[in-house]
Amino acid sequence: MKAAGFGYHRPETMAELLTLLADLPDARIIAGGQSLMPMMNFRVAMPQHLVDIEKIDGLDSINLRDGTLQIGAMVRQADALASPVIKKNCPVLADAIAYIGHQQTRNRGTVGGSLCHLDPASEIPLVCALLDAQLYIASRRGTRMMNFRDFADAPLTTSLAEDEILTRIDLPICDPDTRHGFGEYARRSGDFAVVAVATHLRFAGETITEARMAFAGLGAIQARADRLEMFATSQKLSPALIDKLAQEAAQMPAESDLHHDADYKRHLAACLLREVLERILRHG
Amino acid sequence: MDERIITIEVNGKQYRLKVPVRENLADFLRHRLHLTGTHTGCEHGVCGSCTILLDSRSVRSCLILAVQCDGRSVRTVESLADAAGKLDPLQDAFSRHHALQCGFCTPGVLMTLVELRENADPSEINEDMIREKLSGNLCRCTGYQGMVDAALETLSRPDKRL
Ligand SMILES: Cc1cc2nc3c(=O)[nH]c(=O)nc-3n(C[C@@H](O)[C@H](O)[C@H](O)COP(=O)(O)OP(=O)(O)OC[C@H]3O[C@@H](n4cnc5c(N)ncnc54)[C@H](O)[C@@H]3O)c2cc1C
Ligand code: FES
Ligand code: FES
Repeated sequence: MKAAGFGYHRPETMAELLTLLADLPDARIIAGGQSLMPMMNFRVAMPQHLVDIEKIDGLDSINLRDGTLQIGAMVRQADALASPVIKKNCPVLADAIAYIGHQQTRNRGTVGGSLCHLDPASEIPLVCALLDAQLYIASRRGTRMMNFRDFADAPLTTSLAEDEILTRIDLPICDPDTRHGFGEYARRSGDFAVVAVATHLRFAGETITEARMAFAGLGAIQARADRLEMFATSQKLSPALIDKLAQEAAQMPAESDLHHDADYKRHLAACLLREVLERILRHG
Repeated sequence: MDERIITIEVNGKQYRLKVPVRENLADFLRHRLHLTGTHTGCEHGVCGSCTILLDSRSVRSCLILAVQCDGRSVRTVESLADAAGKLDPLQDAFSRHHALQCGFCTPGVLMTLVELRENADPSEINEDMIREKLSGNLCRCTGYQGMVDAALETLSRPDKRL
C-alpha cells in the first residue's frame, strides 16, 4: 500500500515541462493525484518519473472568450464547482462536478486529470462527450486541438502521446434557448456512477431544435445516444415524448460489469433520463 | 532513493527535513513528526481518516506526497485543543453528543468540519450540508447522528438546528 520509488520533478515553466516529458523515460504527469496516487499506492502504476504540473502558470484559469468557456486543465474540481462563470454558462458541468467524489477529493482533483484518467463512469468526460468539447494539447513538437471523441480511445486510455499534456478544455456556452440537465445514480454519495446522463436541448418556442443526450456507465466510453437525439429533434417536449425517449433508452446497448448487469443499467438510464427531462419540462 | 529537503509548516511550527520523494504526507506526519492523530485506513483516498487541512483546504494526506507540500502549511487534529489540553468547541460537542466510539475516523471528521466552519456562513450550515461534507469520511461505529448533532450545535445558527 505504498508507492514504489520514482524520480520527482516539479518544473516551473511550460518549456521546462515539455522538455522533461520529451526526454524522461516512462514519465507520468501528476495533477491532483486523486486517481494516480491510489494506483501508485496499489502499485497498479509504477512510473519511473513523476512530473508535477502544479507550479506551471496559466493552467488554472476559467475564461469566457468568443462564445466559448475555456477551462484550464489544472482547475480544481472544487474551484470549478464554486465558479459563478461555469454555473451561469455551463450549468450541466457544475451539476456534474457536484457528483464527483467528496469535498476532500475535489479540493485536489482537477478537471483535466479527470479527462485524462478517463474512467468510463466519470462525470467530466460525460459532459465533454455531450458538448463535443475541444481539447488543447501541447508537446515540444507543437500544439494541437482535438475533439473529445478523438481523444477518448478506450476506458482509461486517451490518444495522448507520452510527451503530450492536455492544457485546456473548451466548451460551448449555454444560451437562453438551451436547457441543460444532469442525473446520476451511484451506490453511495460520492461513489463512481453506475449510470449517469447529461442532456442539452435547444428550443425554438416549445420545439426542440437541437437535442443532445449522453450517457456514462453503459458502455466503454461516455457517448451521445444518436438514436434518442434523432427521436427528440423537431419534437415538442411533452410527457408523451418523454415516455417514448425513456422506452428507447431502456433498449440501448449496455455492458454488464461485476456488480450491475446490462438490463439493470438500461433501466437506470431510462429512469434517469425521464427524471432529467421531466425537470426541464416542469421548470421550463 | 530520490530525496528532497522540504520546508513545511505543521500546526504553526516550521520544519526543514529531508524526505524520500515517495513518502506521502500521512506517513510524513505520523512517522517523521510523530503526529499520530492523523490516521491511515485505506491509503487510497476512500475512507477519509487521513484528512488534514493543506493551506486551509481539506485533503487526503494519503494521496499527496510530502515533497508536494514544500513551502505550504498543514493543520492536523493536534492543532485543535490548546496547549493546556482544553478541547476545541467542536471536540467538546463531539464528546457530549457521543459522536465517536472507537475514534478511528474522528480526526478526519473533525478536520473536515473545521474547513466547513472556516468557509461557510453559519446561517447556511444545515443538516444537509453537514451530511454532504461528511460523505467523504467513513465511520463504522456511530451512524453519524451524533456527529451531525455536534456539528449543528457548534457550527450553525440556532434556527438551522433540529
Ligand atoms: C474517494 C474517491 C472518489 C472518487 N469519485 C469520483 C467520481 O465519482 N467521479 C469521478 O469522475 N472521479 C472520481 N474520483 C477520481 C477523481 O477524484 C480524480 O480527481 C480524477 O479522476 C483525476 O484527476 P486528478 O487531477 O486527481 O489527476 P491525477 O490523479 O493526478 O492523474 C490522473 C491521470 O491523468 C494524467 N493527467 C493528469 N493531468 C493531465 C494533463 N493535464 N495532461 C495529461 N495527462 C494528465 C495522469 O498522468 C494520470 O494518468 C474519485 C477519487 C477518489 C479518491
Ligand atoms: S487513508 Fe487516506 S483516505 Fe483512507
Ligand atoms: S467512531 Fe469508530 S469509525 Fe467512527
